Amino acid sequence: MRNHEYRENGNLDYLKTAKGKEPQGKETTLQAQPDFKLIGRPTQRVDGRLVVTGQAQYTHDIQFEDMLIGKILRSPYAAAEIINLDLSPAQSLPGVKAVLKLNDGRLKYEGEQIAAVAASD
Amino acid sequence: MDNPSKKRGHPVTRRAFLRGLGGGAAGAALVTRIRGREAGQAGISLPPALTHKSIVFELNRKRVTVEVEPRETLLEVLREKLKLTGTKKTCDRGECGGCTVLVDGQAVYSCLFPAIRADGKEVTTIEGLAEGENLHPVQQAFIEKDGYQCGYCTPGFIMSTVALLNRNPNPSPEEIKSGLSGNLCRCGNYVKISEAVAAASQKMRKA
Repeated sequence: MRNHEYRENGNLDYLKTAKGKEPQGKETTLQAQPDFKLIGRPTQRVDGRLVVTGQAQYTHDIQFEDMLIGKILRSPYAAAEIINLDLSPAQSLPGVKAVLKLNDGRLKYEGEQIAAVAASD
Repeated sequence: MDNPSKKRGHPVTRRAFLRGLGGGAAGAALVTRIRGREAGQAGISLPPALTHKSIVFELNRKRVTVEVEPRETLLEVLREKLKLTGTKKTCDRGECGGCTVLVDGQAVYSCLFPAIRADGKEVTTIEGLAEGENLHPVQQAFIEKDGYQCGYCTPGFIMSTVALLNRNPNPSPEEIKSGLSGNLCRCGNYVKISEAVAAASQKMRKA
């Protein structure tokens, strides 16, 4: 079936109602609908089996050898001043590999980051 | 006072609270001390508080032995010690159902289930439903009916569905809704999930 035949059959009615310019260019032969291989046919997703068996890996599921777990300490107050930040108690805990100060001045919103820690578990 | 900001303190987190309750080593030591004092007054002696316990349970038809702390949830033991990450940790407080597993055939939130209570029980996770290459009918139905979008909540939904269909093989649409009301899907795929459950129910009754 040719493009113009579709139009005449009313299959591309919207072109008439739009009253715009019809697309220009080479006439192409379109496939008849019953011959469509994908459109209108149910298709199984490629990850189906992985998802329903729990094998699909999301970020939280990825584990590496010697991986550290990180955590950020956030401000419990919407407006506050950090007067003193002592990282040593965190540093001295077993398994802690790194402690970082992320802020040492004014905290401007609840949840603003203050410090970060990375530890083996 | 050299640290006034510290005095105002942080709100007590659930984790810290649980730890303090007697989960962790420090908590356990504290409990021992308190109990010891009471026991001393009463003139009896108590065994030391539990810090670790080796538990044995049936996991996906295989017997496993694992060392757990009383504070550890079944979810943590499954994901972190037994490396079964199909069971999802999402809210970690019994709201979302992403961590649903079967304990003796019943759907439970593994994030609220102390691992120590799994001792001697039969636990089934999403990894244990298929038999070799053969998917469980509920798993098949979720694929066929497109019962998931991102798929993150799917293991939990599937486990809840298995439990639902075991106790009610032919649920009405209302019963499907209430049977899965403990699971949340943030993609909002509930319509397709319900269709998958209905299809699974049909499959299982035919089989």
